[in-house]
Amino acid sequence: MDNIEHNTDAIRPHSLINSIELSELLPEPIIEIDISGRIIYMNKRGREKFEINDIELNHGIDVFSLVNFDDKEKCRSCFDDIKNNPQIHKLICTLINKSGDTFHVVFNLTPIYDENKKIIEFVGFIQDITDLTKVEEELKSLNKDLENRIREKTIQMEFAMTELKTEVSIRKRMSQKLQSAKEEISKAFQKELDLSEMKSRFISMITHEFRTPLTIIISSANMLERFYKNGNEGKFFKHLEKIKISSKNLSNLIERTITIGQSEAGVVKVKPEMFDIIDFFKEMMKEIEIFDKKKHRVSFHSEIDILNVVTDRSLLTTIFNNIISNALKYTDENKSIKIEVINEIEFVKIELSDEGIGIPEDEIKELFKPFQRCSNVGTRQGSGLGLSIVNKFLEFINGDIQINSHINIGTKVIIRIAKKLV
Amino acid sequence: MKKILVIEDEKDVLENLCDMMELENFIPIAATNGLDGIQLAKDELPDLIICDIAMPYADGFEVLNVLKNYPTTTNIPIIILTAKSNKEDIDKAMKCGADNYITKPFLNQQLIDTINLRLLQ
Repeated sequence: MDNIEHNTDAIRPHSLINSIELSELLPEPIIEIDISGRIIYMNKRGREKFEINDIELNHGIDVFSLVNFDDKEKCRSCFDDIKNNPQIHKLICTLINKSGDTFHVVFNLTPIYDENKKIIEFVGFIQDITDLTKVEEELKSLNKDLENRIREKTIQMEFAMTELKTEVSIRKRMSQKLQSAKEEISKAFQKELDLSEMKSRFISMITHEFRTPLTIIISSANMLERFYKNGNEGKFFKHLEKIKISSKNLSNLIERTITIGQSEAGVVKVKPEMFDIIDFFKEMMKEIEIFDKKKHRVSFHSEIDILNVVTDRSLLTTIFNNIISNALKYTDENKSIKIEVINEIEFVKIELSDEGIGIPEDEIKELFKPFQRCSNVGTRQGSGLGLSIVNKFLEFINGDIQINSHINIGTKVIIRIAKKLV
Repeated sequence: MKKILVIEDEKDVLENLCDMMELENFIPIAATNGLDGIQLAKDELPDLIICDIAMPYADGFEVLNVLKNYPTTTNIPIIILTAKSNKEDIDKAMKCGADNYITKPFLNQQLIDTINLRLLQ
């Protein structure tokens, strides 16, 4: 800036462009304006470009008359700024000529000072940046376009991604559903298989178990007449007794078969009533003694004297008849069987320990299925229905059963039943 | 008097069969399992054997296999008397050399007739 000031001082006073011919030849427009904005001089290129004739120029044309209407206000204030602070010497605006051509231009103005260092006028180039602006604008629009397209693509991708995620989660859910459906079908199939297996085992057991008492009844009955006729009173009464016992066995077997059938079909009615369970067991002990003819040492123990419960008495009787008769059946004579009642918060726990033949550990679970008997029962009679009935009935009265057993040492059956059945 | 060996693990059934044999004037010999049955057959050489299938120690099929392949017992008629009534068991017993197959429950006369027929042959 200092340099320019210095040079301009040297080229003064009147027209600062001494070599008019030179400036007339320059390919860029050159302008000289006073501080009010009146054009003092414009070279040939400028006059041609902005279509100003010599007459107009001599009359003193205002530089702002060339400025596009929209830019005029901005341009004037900008020119005022330059006058106050010549360091800002650039003025950007749009010019328009008589033909209506618009040019985006930059005025590069250099102030000219008088002896009092006061600005008297400006000289400078008018640089046409229309093409540059156009390119810039094109670039900008290209950029914007690109940005838009990227944004659009991003949105599309995000959308696709969301769709994909949804699809994945749908498929996942479908596959889970499919899996659970598969499992259900397989479960249903297994249940059907189990049922059919149970039925066929049922039939085969019926044919076997029912045949034995029937064989005795028929053969004894067939012989009765003969023993009566030949006067063998001993044999006559022996076979009469056998018919009675076998009939009872057969009747029990039928009873149990019906019971298991009913509980499987869900027709068992639960009738809760309040009674003292200690008294219930004491009564049961008396019956056992008569039935067992004191072959075993059966003992009963309870910490409390009275314990009222609300449950189905008849189901409870069936449960313990089965459990106790098992203990008697599979325990040798003179060995002990202990029954203990323990009072818990919501349950009554009944522990029955015997010194019997025991149950092989891997067979315990199987025993709850109908007609399932242990491999070590030997010739001891049984339908294989007892524990199956017990298990079913315990379900009805909110109870459960646990069996711990050691071969040839004994079995402990732990039964818990709800004190209050609602 | 003809000797009849009865092999049956069900005590009450065994007792009835023995009584039945006595009523027909046969001499019954009782065995409560297959193993005892085989031994008694070899020792006593009965005229006929009545044998159950499901028994401890040695079942009816094993009794048949042993006795039908043992020189002194091979010709003794064996009547299988069992609660097993399915075809496979009957076929298996016949293959093992059973002479007759009767299912429980049976009528006394049906068994006696079969025994008498076998003893005649």
